[in-house]
Amino acid sequence: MNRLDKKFSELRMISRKGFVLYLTAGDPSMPDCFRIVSRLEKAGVDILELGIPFSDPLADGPTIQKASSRSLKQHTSVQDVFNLVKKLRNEKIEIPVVIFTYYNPVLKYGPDRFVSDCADRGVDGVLILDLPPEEAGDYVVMASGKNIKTIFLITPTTPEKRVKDIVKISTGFVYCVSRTGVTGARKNLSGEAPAIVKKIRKYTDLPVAVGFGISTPEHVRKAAGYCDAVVVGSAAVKKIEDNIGKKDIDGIMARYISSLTRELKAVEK
Amino acid sequence: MNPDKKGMFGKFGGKFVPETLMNALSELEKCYKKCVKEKSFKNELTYYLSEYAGRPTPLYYAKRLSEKINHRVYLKREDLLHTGAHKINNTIGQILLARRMGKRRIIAETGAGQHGVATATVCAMFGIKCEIYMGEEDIRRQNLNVFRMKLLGANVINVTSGSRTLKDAMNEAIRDWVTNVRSTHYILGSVGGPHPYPMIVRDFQKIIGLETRRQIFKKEGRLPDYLIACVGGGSNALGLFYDFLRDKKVKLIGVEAGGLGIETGKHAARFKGGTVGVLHGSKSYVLQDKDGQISATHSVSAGLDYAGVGPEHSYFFEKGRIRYDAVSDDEAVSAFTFLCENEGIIPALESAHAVAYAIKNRRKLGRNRLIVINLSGRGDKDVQVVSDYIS
Repeated sequence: MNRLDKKFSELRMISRKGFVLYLTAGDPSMPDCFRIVSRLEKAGVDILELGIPFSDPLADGPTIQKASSRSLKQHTSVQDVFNLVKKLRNEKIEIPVVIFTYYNPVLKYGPDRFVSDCADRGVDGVLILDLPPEEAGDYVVMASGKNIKTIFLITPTTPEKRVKDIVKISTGFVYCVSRTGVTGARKNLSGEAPAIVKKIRKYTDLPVAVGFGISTPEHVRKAAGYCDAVVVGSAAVKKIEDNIGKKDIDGIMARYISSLTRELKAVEK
Repeated sequence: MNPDKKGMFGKFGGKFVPETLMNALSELEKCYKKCVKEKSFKNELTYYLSEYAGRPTPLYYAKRLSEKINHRVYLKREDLLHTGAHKINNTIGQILLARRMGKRRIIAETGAGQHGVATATVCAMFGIKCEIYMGEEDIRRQNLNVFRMKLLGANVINVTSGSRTLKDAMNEAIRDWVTNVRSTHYILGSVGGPHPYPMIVRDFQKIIGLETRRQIFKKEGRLPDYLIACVGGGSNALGLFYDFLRDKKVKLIGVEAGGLGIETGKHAARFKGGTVGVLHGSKSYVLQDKDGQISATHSVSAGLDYAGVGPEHSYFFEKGRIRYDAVSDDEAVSAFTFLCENEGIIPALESAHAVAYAIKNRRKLGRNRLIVINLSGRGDKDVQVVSDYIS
């Protein structure tokens, strides 16, 4: 069984909301990144969204742009990202992993080979940010053949008719983008997200994760009120940026992330 | 040709953008398809192109250049248009679309600054708020245009990410659009980007070729043997070539920036050193490394200094209908000074690449050929760069 399916059915059983964490692979360095991600499960993270760094991340705000350049300065390749996941699996860390990427590195790697290698190295799902459903036909077929989940985005500007089409080719979960805009920490939570989640639920029973701009414990608690999982990205990546060079960066991150995931336990009570 | 339903020219093109933009792209396509059929839109476009921008532009017989290379060379004088380059053909068209879509704010990217100036100009004319993204490196080397944009009331945003050139300005413009898509129209400046931009920009630029055909028949009574134009994103080239694609005898040549030489890796010749990839929303030839990371490019000309190229160019490259070649920085600067000294025309460094190709390959082109070179812009903006380059 795919780790994502397993995770969401467990979460449903204990009626708890999921916590998804985005980190850029190889940030601030591959060894530090490995130390950080290997402690995530214990810090309460349910799903790891691992970003492949890209030279032109046009849907990302400054925080993730900087993380991408830090990682690329060390020449992180797609292969290195797969190796990181493989290393987790070798250590018996079974956290579900979703690869978050722009299309060009996948195209260059070869979509077929990319999907096979995902399956081989223990990746559970893929989200390609700039591959809209219209262009995704072959990739969806390849991925489903290897039991790799295909996650797509639904945004505030997605018309209802498209929502219907997008959920049809989505597997694993549906990613609801809470606001128009690029990734990045925000002061306030988007007011539009609850309505979009509702729209999505009309057409699918898949779990719905909400992301973009969720940055504080309060945001996490609030967003968890209307979806199945919350995604935190830039806020955590910023925390890495602020602690580069510290020996205990994995400990600092683990404690910080626990302070966010703790909120989800509070929701059920 | 027109792209298919998904916006593909054969295997090139498409809409590889974040979901947030998909709806805006289909709205733009719908609006465009409706407008081109409307007489009132056509009339308005023609009115501004002739009364405001100064069309038609002359097709000028360049006597001394012709004597130097032993061919009959005509220059299509897009440099004489208002704002000094062909870019205004497209910005007039797109601002009319933006007004019909009810957009209150315009953004654009710019490399050499010509598209930025042309956008700022039409925004000033219609009283629409305008923000232009420009890489820090380009702001430095095209400072005159930065000041022009500011005079025209635009806000020029300094882009400091990545290589700080056109590619990064485009990233930043797309990020802005993703954020403000409901109120904002993005006036993309070339035949690149996601569908429907490559089609729309080409259609607004094909006036160059339509006029050229009429003018060359009037002057020479026949089709030209060669059409030559520089290719950055590729809008001036497609604009000139488009109406001649079906005339198989007319050879079409796109000239890319060879920079310091292809072998140095410091260039922007996508059809020499590139492979198929996806950049800024469309599938086309791209300069990239083995991991699919976009390469840094180099050209003395900011307008050609770009890692991608319009998808329709890739289509015609693979079909063999358009030939692509590159000339170096040195060759382009020599052509620049040659045209200054012998024709009394200061060309844009971009357009100087097209002139340089004709000079360099004068013997290969055959004997006494009839050649049209697109002089896509004027070079006032480049005098500082050229002065630094020569010394």
